[in-house]
Order: sequence, then C-alpha cells, then structure tokens
Amino acid sequence: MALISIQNLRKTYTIGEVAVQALRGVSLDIHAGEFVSIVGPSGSGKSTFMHMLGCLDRPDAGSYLLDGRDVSTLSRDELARVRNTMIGFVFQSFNLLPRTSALENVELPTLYSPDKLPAAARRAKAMAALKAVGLENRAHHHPNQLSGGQQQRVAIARALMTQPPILLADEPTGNLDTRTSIEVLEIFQQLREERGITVILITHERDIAEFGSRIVNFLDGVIVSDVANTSRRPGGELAPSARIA
Amino acid sequence: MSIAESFVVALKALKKNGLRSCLTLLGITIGVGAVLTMIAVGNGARASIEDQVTAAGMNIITITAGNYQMKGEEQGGGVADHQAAYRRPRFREPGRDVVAFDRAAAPARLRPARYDDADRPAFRLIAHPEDDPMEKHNHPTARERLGDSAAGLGAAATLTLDDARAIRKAIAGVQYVASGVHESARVTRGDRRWFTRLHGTEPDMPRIRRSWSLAHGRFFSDAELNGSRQVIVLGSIVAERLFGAAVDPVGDEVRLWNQPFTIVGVIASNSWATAGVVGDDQFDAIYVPVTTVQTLLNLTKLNTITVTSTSVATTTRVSRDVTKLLRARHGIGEEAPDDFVVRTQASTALGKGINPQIARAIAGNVPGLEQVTLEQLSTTLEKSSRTMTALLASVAAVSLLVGGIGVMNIMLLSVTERTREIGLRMALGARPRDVMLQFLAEAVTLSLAGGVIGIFVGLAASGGVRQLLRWSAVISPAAIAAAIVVAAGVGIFFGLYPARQAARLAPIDALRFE
Ligand SMILES: Nc1ncnc2c1ncn2[C@@H]1O[C@H](COP(=O)(O)OP(=O)(O)O)[C@@H](O)[C@H]1O
Ligand SMILES: [Mg+2]
Repeated sequence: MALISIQNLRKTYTIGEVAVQALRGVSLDIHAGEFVSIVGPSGSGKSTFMHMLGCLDRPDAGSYLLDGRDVSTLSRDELARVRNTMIGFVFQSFNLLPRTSALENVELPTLYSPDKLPAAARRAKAMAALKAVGLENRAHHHPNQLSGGQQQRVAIARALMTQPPILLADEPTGNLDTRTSIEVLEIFQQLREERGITVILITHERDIAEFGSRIVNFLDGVIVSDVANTSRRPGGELAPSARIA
Repeated sequence: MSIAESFVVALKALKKNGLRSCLTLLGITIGVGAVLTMIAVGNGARASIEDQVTAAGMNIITITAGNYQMKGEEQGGGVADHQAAYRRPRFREPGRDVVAFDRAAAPARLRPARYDDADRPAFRLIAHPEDDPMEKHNHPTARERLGDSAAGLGAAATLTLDDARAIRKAIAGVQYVASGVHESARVTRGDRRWFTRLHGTEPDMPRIRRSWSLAHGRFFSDAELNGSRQVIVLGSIVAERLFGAAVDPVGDEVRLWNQPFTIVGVIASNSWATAGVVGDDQFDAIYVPVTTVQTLLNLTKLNTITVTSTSVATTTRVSRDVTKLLRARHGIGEEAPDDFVVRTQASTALGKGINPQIARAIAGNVPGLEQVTLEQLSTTLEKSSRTMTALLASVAAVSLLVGGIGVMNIMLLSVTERTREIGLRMALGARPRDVMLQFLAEAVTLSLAGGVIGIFVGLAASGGVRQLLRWSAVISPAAIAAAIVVAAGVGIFFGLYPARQAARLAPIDALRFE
C-alpha cells in the first residue's frame, strides 16, 4: 500500500469575484522510499499541492490517505501531531526563528512531540542532527550569522528531529547558488538511501528535478506527466514504482 | 508542551524584545506599586487614628473599690451594669436639682470632704466618703480604709490582687492590668522632704500610661514586684524636688515610712503639653510595687485595678465582662448592687470639671452614654479611614488597569508580528493549545514580573511615607500575596484574547502571512 494516496484533489481560491482553481483534480500515489520531484511552471499549483500533503491546508474535494489514514477526518490537534511525527518541512525561505541559535531552532519540533524528552536529551539530539548536516561548530550561531546554504542545512536538521518518514521540500534551493544547491540535494539523496526517508521535492528547475527517482509534472493545477527518472545524477537507485501517469 | 516549558519559551521571547517588555511590565509595576502603597497609607492612617485614640487613654478601664449606692436603688442588668448604681436618683424638686440630696441624712463625717460646706447639698451615700475615686489628696491612712474588717458593700476594701489576676486571665481583649493602692506619703532624702502621692502599682503601669516616658533608669520589674522589693520610681516633679533638675537619681536611696527605698527610675511626660506640675498625681507622685506597700502596711486589699482593652472598640465589652466577673467573684446576688465601680476613660472625661456627684448622676441617667462615645467614635473613625483607603486604592487600581491594557496591546502587536513564527510552530507540530499557552505565558510573565517589581516599589514607597510623614504605612504579607494573585490575574485576563487570536490562526495562513 502506498504511503501517500491522493485521489482527485481540488482546491479553489476565491479572492473577491475571481476564483482561481489551484488544483483541478490531482491523483497521485507515493510509496515509501521514493524521491519524487514535482516540477511545473510558477503558478501551476505545486505549493498548493504541497500544503495539502503537509496537512497545512485542507482540500475542497478529493481524498488524501496518509499511511492509510483519511486526513480529512482528523481534528486540528491530530493534524498537528501528524505534522510533528510524520512530516519534515524544508522551505524556500528557510523559516528559521530569528535571533535564535541554530541549536534552538533545530530543537523546536521536539518541544511539541508526544514523547516528552527532557531538555538535556533534546539538546543532545539537536546537536546530533546538526552534526549530521555538518554544522556542529555553528550550533550557537544565529541565522543571520549563517550563509544561505548553512541556514538551509539547519532547516533540514530541524525537519529530521522527530525522525519523520516524509520530507517535504518546497523550492529548497530557490535562494541558493548552484554549488550549495547540489550540496542540499545530495543530503536529500543520502537521507533517502541511508534512512529510507520519502523525499518530495518541489522545484521549477528541470536540472534540480533530475535528482529525483521520479518526476511529476504540474501544469495549471493538473498532473501532465509522471515518469521514472533514468537520467539521474549519481547517488540513488531507480524508484521501484516509477510509472507513467 | 508543558506549562513550565511554555514559560521558558515565553521568557526567551520576552528577552528578545527586552526594552519593549520592560516598558510593558513597568505599567503593571506602577499599578501594583501604587495600589499597595495606597492601601498601606490608608491602613497606616487607620492605625495612627487608633493609636491616637488609645494614647488618649480611651481604652483605659478603672475599677475602684466600694460603691456609692443611693438608698432604695436597685441593681439593674444590661450593658451599663456598673452605672446602675447612679441610675434614677430621687428628684425632690424635679427640674431644679439634678442630684438628690438629703442634708439631714448626711452626717458631717459622711459628706465628701471637698464639699463639706454646709450650704452645699449632701449626697446620701452608703459609702465611706474618703473612697470617692474622684478625690485625690485627702485620704486617711490606708490601714483605716483598707483594713480587712471594712470589706463589704459601700466599704472600700473589696478588691484583691486575686481579682486583678482573674481579670488578666479570664477576660478576652484585656491588654494590661495593674492593681493599685493609693496613698499620700512623705518621701525624704537627707534633709529634703516632699509630701506627695504614693502609688502601689504593677510593672504594666508605664504601658498603660502612654504619655509617660522614662527620663532615667527603668520601671520596676516583675521580679521586684514578686519579691516585694523596696524599690521606687519617682515622678519627675518629685525627683526635681529631692535631687534638683537634670540630676539622675537612679541607684540613690530615699526613705519612705522610715524604710530605705532604692530608686530604679524616673518617669516624665513625653509631651510638653502634658508636662508634670506640682500636685498632678502622675509626675508629682512616687511608684512602688503594690506588694511592697501591702507588706509594709499590712494590707490585703486594693483601691483600684486599672485595665486596658486591646482596642477602643472593645472597651465597653471588656468593662461589662469585668463587672460580671467581679460580681461572681464577690458572690454578689442578682438584686444586690456592685461593691465596686467600673469606669471607662470616657465617663471620666464626661465628668471633668463638674461636681463629681453630678457627673455620676449624668453618667447614670444617660444609659450607654459612654458606649456611644467610645464605640461610635471608634467606628466612625474606622469607617472614614476605610473609605479613604478604598478611595485611594481604587484610584491606584485605575493605573493597574491601564497597565493591563498595555500588556494586551503589546501581546496583540506581538501576535501580529510573529504570525509567521506561529505558522512555523504549527507546521512543526504545535497544537492550538500550545500556541495559546505560549502567548498566555508571555502575558502572565510580563504582568507577574511587573507585579513582583511593583511589590518592591510599594515597599520602598511606603517606607518613604513612613520616613517622611512618620506614618505607619505597612504592607502586610496578605497584601503582597494578593498583589501577586492580582498581577497574575491581570496577565491572564488581558493575555487571553491575544493568545486566542494566535491559537485560532490556520497554519497555512499564518505561514504565508506577510
Ligand atoms: N492563498 C491564496 N489565495 C489566493 N490564490 C492563491 C493562494 N495560494 C495560491 N494561489 C493561487 O493558486 C495558484 C497556484 O499557486 P501555487 O500553488 O503557489 O503555485 P506554484 O507553487 O506552482 O508556483 C496561483 O495562481 C496562485 O495565484
Ligand atoms: Mg510555489
């Protein structure tokens, strides 16, 4: 059974008289361990789709089964728990708390996790996560004392704190140069290979999408193509469920 | 997220906006400080009024041995039992004479000495005239008056040291008790001699007489009382006559009844307004342990017992209890009159400057007069100072309200400013209640910190009032506890709305907020 199973998802934004159909019937299955790149031009509904996947917003219509559970039936508290335990977010703009050390930023999700860790254990875990992204010697730096690539690595460490099975990244390289972009993407590949984390990467850049094992193409709120990526950059293996939509 | 963690997070957030947080809690600080200071000042006013009233001796009750019962007078019950003896005098010529008199029935030896004038009306008394408590300087010897054989109604010798002990032990609201034997005596030092008033009394006396201060040495002690020691405290006038002004006679000896007495102290007035004068009975007087007087003069009875109540408001109640207790102790039946007189300072004050008998008749004919005087005065003062306290505190409470609105304002601003942070926290798994708790904790931290600093400000301010105005402005522990609770309450009340606003945000809207 698929980790994520989406059927005919719809979302319409209405601003005044104008109704924008951001998603017009999207169906998609994602299996555990896949590295899915979602590409498409700006305004094609990729971010809207990711908000649905991340339980940050509710669709107008359609169903979303996450690990077999119907997300639409969950309460606000249960959704918060799902976001905390199952999903790690990486944003284009990093979204680190300003004037707060890298270490404390990384600790943040554990503050809300159901397994109530003592402060010392949380700190140790955050330190380990920072070490995993190679930033243990920047633990006490504030975001404004870090480069963009370093900030994004802190954000990745934060996303991994609760050991979620899914990593959602919306344009994670949008604010980074090519070299640091590649570093970030290699971390994603490594996570998928070493920990079996399912990575869903949203980008509008074709060559970034090439890091995925599967490439899903959005256009005007619908999926226009869904292909296994054979011309992949080094690091990963072929996705087992790659298929054409 | 636990409550403790919420406060840790709140503290960090507040630290990031240090100056803003400080200014906000300053509002609460001023509010709490002002309320506390105003309550302290108000209570101080009340205490100082009560102080002045007790200093004026309004809480003093004097019990005098013997009674002046008029013929045919029956004992009444009720609140002013001790006044019953003076109730309803017989009026021979109503409208003209206030006090009943019977010249024929009053033999010369029964007439009060001062009014021995044949033209003056004689009061018909069943008492030894020399026992008139209003008469000061012309008593016969103590043995004559206090001899045990003379005990009984109308006679003087009805009070004992055991009565005084019983009053001290059995009656609630009694502050100090001092038994007294009063004499005229000649005290000598070498060839200087002075004829003055002798008071056999107890160590509580200087605490009862609040207008006293010790010019030299000390008052005699409980040990000296119990040991019937020959120690003496001189009034300032006596000390001046025997030793000269500004000489410290402590340790020296004087002779009384041909016995040596060691001087342990000199008492003087603490106010120029009531400075001692010759013949004044307080500073032109000498004080000796009552037990010493009883031993040397071979007495077992007392002239007076002086009692103070802990507050002016309870004086009447205490005096009533004293009457009841003494009647029981003296085995006086329902119908029989008291064999003692209980007076409060108010009834004495009423009679000042008036013929003592007339004074008694007035007091006796206006039931509860002194009760009205004492308790009404006391409660009126109490009421007005309470009103003042409430007024001051409510004005100060307005500043606390303004402080609370300041907290709310800053919290609303903070929620708006940190909408993206709220969205991020929600994306990372914060539940609405976690967000709510975080902002509520910030508001409570602000107002609690403000409140605690406010307590110190209040303590300092009331200390300043004490120093500058010499006014007892004291902040009670209860007021401090209340201030903490109120400060926390203000935080919760004014923090609740902003915190709910934060918690109700949809994660995606918060995250995308600009
Ligand atoms: N909160 C919103 N309110 C109104 N319209 C929105 C909102 N979010 C997205 N849209 C619209 O939905 C469409 C899809 O947007 P989005 O999912 O952000 O596209 P992408 O991420 O692919 O660039 C766009 O036309 C955008 O204008
Ligand atoms: Mg987008």
